[in-house]
Amino acid sequence: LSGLLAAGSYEGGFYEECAQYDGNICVEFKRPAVPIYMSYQRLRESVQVEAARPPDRLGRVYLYQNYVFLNEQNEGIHIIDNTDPTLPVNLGFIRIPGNTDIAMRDNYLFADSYVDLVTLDMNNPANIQVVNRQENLFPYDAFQNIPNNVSFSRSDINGALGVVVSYQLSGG
Amino acid sequence: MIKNICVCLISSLLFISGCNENGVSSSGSDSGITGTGGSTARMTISGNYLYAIAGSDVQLLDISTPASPAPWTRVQIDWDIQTLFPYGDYLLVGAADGMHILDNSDPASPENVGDFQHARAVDPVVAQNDIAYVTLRVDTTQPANGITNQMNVVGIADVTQPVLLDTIAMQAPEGLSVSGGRLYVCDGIAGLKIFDVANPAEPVVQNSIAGLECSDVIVDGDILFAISEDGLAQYDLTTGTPLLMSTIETEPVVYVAGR
Repeated sequence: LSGLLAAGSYEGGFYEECAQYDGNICVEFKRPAVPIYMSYQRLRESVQVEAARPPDRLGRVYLYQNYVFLNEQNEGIHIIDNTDPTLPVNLGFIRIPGNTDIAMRDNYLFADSYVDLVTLDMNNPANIQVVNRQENLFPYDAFQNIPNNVSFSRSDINGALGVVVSYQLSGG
Repeated sequence: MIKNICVCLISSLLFISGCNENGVSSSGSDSGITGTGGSTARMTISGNYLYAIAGSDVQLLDISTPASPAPWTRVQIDWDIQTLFPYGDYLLVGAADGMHILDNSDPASPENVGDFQHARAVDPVVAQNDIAYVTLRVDTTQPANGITNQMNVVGIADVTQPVLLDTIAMQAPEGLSVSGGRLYVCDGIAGLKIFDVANPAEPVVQNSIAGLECSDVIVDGDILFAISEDGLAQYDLTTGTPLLMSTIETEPVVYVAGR
């Protein structure tokens, strides 16, 4: 019990987990929230090419030939033409919900999309297509796209409703 | 890396095709064209297989026909694995409690042959010339466990018995990259540190890019790519002193509720 008290505290029946430590002292507790879902059907219709825009919340980088692919955490991939590294050109954005990483082979792009792995045919730039989807290849993670200082009650997580894309703070 | 000189593309939105005649081979041979990821990668390609971290497992997919990847074996590794780094016939797996070495000489059945254990931390890994470099950043979402921010130099000449050769104190290290005689390490507010690894077992600080608070770094040829909250910065390394060439700056996106 002393271990539990050191790690968090009970308040109104909700067990507050620690979000951030300074040594052994908790300096920030997680805030209780409820999940907001995207249905699996919607998730599987969401991949699309959009106009170029400045990146935000950059995650991983992938170099492929003269191109740089910039992952925007959980949102998709910015495509950069890096033929001239002194003048990189932002060409466009591929929206892939829940994307955190990519790899490429022979102009086919593999990308995670929450629980799925999608394959995009990049051979025809005017017509980028999802050509394969391995559904539920990755384990369900309700916290993938949720800040570390937010927590859900386990009973509020229902994987049948879809993937968790956002949250709403409970109470006030 | 294959240079693909093609002016045809910038025209409208996107790219690549039309360039097939110079550089992009069609598949069919043993393995085709692939790209380069950073040290924090959770997905990587080796031979005709795609490796992806899936929970506590590494999932393999046969990509000999890239348009239709086929799930292959799934190797159970550890409860909190974070990064994958291909190293010759091996795959180095960065985990919260250490580094695992997978012998991948037979992709049909990768085998966990060696482990390097440490206390819980966040730790990407890269390797060159029988030496692995592992950065350990204190995980502040957990209570203190005695570990300090550091980089471990680990001998992997015998992959079944990784040996700690050196420990270098760091500020808050994250991604890293080793290329030629240099090791590049993102080290929080200390900036990007550049080590001389002429003696691979004993990195010596040689230079740094102050103020570059990067999360990951990739060195490819003479270009250094650094990712930070501010964006993607590219540095020219040809003179030995990194020279900033360009930056793609981030701009916060305002999301509309119910997007």
